[in-house]
Amino acid sequence: MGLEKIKLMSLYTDFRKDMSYIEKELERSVQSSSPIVRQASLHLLKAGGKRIRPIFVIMAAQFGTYSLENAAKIAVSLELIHMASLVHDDVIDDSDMRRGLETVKAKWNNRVAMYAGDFIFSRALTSIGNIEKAPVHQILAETMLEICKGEIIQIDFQQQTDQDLRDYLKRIKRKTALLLSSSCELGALSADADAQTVRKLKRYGYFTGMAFQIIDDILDITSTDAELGKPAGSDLLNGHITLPVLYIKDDEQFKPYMERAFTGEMEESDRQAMLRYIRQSGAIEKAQHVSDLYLIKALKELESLPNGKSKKALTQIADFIGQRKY
Amino acid sequence: METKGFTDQVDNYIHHLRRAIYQPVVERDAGHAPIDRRKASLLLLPLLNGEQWTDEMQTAALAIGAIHTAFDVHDQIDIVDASSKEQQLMVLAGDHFSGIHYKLLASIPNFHLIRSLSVAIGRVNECKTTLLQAPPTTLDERLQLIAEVESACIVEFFETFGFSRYTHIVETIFPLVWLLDSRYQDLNRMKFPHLVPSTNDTQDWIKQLQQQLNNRLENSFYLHTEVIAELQKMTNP
Repeated sequence: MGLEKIKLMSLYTDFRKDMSYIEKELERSVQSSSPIVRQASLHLLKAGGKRIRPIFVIMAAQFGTYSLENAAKIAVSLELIHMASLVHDDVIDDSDMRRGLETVKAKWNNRVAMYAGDFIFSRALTSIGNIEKAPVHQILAETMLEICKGEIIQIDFQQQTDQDLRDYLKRIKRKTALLLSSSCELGALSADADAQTVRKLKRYGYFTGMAFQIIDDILDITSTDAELGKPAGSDLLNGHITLPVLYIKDDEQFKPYMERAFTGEMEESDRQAMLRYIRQSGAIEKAQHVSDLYLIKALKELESLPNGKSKKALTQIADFIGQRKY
Repeated sequence: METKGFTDQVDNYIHHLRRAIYQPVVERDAGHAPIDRRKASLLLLPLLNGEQWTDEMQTAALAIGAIHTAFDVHDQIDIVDASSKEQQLMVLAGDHFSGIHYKLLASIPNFHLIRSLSVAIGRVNECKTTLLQAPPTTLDERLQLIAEVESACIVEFFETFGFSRYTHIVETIFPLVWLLDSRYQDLNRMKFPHLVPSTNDTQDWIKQLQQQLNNRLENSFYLHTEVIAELQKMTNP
């Protein structure tokens, strides 16, 4: 387990028992009569992940009448939806590595990845199907569609350099912030928290999610290949313009790098030079500043919520997101 | 019901399904989603046979159509190289259609169907993976899996709304039409082309399944003559 993940896990201390229950439920959920589907699903599950969606559900549910059983159904569902989307994303991005392991599509093939992703998605619905509250399903369905729309737009925007900050923020809202926002909202709803609390937690999740994705995009440039478990700069190589690149894309010296990254004509030394150029350009600091602004907003949402271990942990998670290294 | 009525009802359903799953970027860059008319007709069998059809059933039927379309689109993803923009969009189009299926069920809301259908969707993907990577050795077993892939969601729909008596018909028709497709269609355009048996075996199985279907249709006293005729037309190209 990486140092960063250990740091994050230490913030979950008060919820360790609940998270351990969710981890078991996740594993149980992807059991399958098909050995290949089971292996493919467990492959990704065992590769780990920050489990930030489940922990948000658990923590948000503490602000109402907490039931681990109910919260776990939602937490498992959201994590599985996230996992399913990763399996399909690897097909789209033709990625062979994720979290330092071979992707499902690399270990088997694209079609197995499609079926495994669809299988995991079905298990997500099996889990949340046991929550008989219409708003929970309506919110989750809308969230899923918006996430998908975001990915479709991302493909549409691929390699388009005439993007602005608004385009980028809309894209990361759908890509990451919405699911984190829904994690908090649905966790609170599952525990029948009052409407204002639900709203504040939803907004906390949204702002944290925006910061999380900006940091993720920064780390794609500042981390090493080993830390990322995939080549640094993958976003740009896949034609995605992230916030640091947005700040530098009109720089005349940077443009040739971008063109070569988009056309796949980038040699290893060229990729390293491109990463160094971005790192030294000041774009990272500018992006970090935007992330900080979102985190300030996230923390503001928590201010009026009752003090307790959950509020404390949510505050620490926001701080962690701002400082994480990979 | 007259054949025209039959056609109109299926057309009408497909029109509504197209509207429900519409996604402008996908439509523009990857084209129309493939809606399987035959599958739609079998899903609507109770309606076409004059059963009472509520708004809830209509919404649920659209949800089933959306998930079927998602399956069909994902079946078209190239096994080795999906790097073109069209293929990338098809991955996402399938996910979008899956999301629409869930949204439709959530709008009813029918929690039982969300649960039971999710189990069926899981099973369909298990069967598809088995057929792709480790197909059973006998044709009989293969046909059973194909029947499950194609009919599982429709069967759940029938069970949920009290139309179980139609289940055995769709379960027989799907493997039969798959075999018929293998004789009359371009193999590249059909599902599981690698599992198509030799011509002699195909012919034997077609005869056997046609006989089985005819027996079932004869014993289904509740089926209108026109519906039987349509089903026979579907299985006697």
